[in-house]
Amino acid sequence: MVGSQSLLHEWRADDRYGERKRQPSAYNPLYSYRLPQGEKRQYAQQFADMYFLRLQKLKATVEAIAAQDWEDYEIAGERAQRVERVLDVRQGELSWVVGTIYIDLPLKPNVLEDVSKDHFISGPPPRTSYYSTDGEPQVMLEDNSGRLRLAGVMLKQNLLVTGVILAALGTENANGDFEVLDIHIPDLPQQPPRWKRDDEEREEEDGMKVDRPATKGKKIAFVSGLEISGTDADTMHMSLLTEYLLGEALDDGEQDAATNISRLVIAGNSIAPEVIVNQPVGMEEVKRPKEKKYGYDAAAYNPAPTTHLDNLISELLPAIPVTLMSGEFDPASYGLPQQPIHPAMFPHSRTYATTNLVHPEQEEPGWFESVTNPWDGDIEGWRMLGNSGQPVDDILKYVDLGGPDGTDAEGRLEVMESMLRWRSSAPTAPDTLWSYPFQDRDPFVLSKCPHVYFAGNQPRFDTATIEGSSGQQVRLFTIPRFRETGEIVLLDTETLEAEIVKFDIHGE
Amino acid sequence: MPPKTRRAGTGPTAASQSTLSFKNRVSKSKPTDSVTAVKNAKSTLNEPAQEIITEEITKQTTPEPEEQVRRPSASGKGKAEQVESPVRIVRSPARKRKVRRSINDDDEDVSFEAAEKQAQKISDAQVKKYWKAEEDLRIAPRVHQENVHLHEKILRHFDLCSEYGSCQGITRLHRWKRAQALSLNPPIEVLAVLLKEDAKGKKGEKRNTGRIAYIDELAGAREVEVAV
Repeated sequence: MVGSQSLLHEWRADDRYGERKRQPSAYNPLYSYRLPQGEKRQYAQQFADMYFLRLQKLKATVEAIAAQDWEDYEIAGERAQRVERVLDVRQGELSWVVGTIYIDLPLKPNVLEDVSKDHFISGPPPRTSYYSTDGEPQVMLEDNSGRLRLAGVMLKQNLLVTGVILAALGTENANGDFEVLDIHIPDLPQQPPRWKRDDEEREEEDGMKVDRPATKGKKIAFVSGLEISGTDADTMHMSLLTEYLLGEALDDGEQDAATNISRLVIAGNSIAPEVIVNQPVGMEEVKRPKEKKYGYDAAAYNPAPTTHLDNLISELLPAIPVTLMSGEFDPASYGLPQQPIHPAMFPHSRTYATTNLVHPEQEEPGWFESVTNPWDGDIEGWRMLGNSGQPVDDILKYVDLGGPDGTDAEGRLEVMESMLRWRSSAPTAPDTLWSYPFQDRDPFVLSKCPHVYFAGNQPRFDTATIEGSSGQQVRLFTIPRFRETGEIVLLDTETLEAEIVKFDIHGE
Repeated sequence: MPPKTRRAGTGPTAASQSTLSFKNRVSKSKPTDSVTAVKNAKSTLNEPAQEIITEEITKQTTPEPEEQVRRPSASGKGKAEQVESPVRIVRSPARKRKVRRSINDDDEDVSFEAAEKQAQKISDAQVKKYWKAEEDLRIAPRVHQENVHLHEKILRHFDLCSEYGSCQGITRLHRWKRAQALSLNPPIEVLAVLLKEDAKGKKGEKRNTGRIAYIDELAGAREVEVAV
């Protein structure tokens, strides 16, 4: 409850109003998910290249782990042999092979089915889950030579989705299916020590070691799913949030605690999904709107949500640095990696941002940074990786962890842990998750293990710590949708513990 | 006799025009480092004042790199006593950072240049020998390739090698570069053929091979410059 020492007391002559200073934020972002600009961004590439690159990058790691483990694997005198190509497995021979998983689900959108269907029927509503209890998912292992169907109990025991690179040990049975006895995944990559990038850069520039005293109690705030629509009465919760972050709400103790929050990260979905009123839906005749020469067409564009968002952020910016990630419903590019929301959408907030849009890595980042989704970077020396929830939601469509329609709150942390152990921040891209066709590098493959991994727009707040075989420790947490729950997550920068602050209105 | 090399400066043109000289004036402006700019700027202050200033500046730079340098105003020698106050040095926000986006770019370019040099040295005979070795691996001779030029045969074989990825949607040269960057050791003779054909194209002669895979061309693909 709010203490009333500072509110509503008698006037005192010696009242002094102290100035509070916010803890500074040590921020060093990476730009791994930025796409080339303008002409250089082409879409003529094949998506097969992405799978090729992913396999090439992770094959060596998985091979090393598998070779070490299965070196002396014996069953009834038979030793396991390494097989180069997936199609080279022979019946009755115990062998292991490395490849990419491909899962064929009965309800997965299949482009061949779409083409063969009648063109004039309107499409079915988009499915929330590809998993169906009727048909069985077919799990296959693929590499540049072909596909091999997998069978066995191991497949049900392990979480597998399309795009995972693994080594499978087993033998081919009479059907031609590969019976899997054991699998190995790349597992967590190397984790850089805290402050590594900052120290390296400082040493290059100044040639000195930097002293970093531990600052107790410094926190980073994470919020996602603000879903500002401009019409709904959602301003009350936003006002409470702004007041809390600016240190205006509650009493002295709480305001002092609020000065510990050094940065706000908005993890996607700041704009509500349906913002255009009376948008025509379906296949009926759409009246072509009259060509408007000046201004915008109100039937196609509603500026209110972005204006509200801009006002909200510019209110916060003079006092707290903000990192804004794009989300599924935000006005940013559609496929992953979503590019930053253009600063043109934020006429007031962009004065705090860098003006170099083509090469932001050459400038010091401003207090307002519009970043990609997924995003990685260093805050307070800790390597952070996060996304606005699309990869996690997509994986849950493959399995029944998330309830019958994939929207349940269970299983999110398990999926996030698996994504780190698979070393991929979006394994289902480009299969069921729209993606840019990369040809030279797959940026979704993780080469370094983050210290913190978060996913936005999840139904519930959950947190856990996972460990790796070489001492890696990662703090995982999910950020709930602010619009539904009114919760924000505070991450302590020394202990990496996550807690929530909930904003609610009595009587609602 | 090899033709005499022409030297600039000899001949009738040398005396008629004076050569440009940039000894006194530099037209290009370099990005100024704030500290050296102050040191090198011509100051109208007298010597002892200048020394004090530089001393103050260098003293302040190391512990507090966050302050901006205030250029001592050239407004008069009488202001010497005012510069006793400490000079605040602030780094301007547009300081250039080292680009940390991609760590491997430089290495890749260097190794491709080395490969290019090596490929330039490969002769036609070596290419023929390579191709003969490839054909000897097969049991039966290739059919329907009688009218195909040797270079195109080599490149089609390279296209269909699945260990370097799909041949569609990517130019042959780019595919070779990518395979080399991923340490797949693609045959250097293929690069030699690619560079020879590119050189032919640049000179204006007729090329024997295409820039994209033949099956891709049949599928209707056009060449597009891709950065990522």
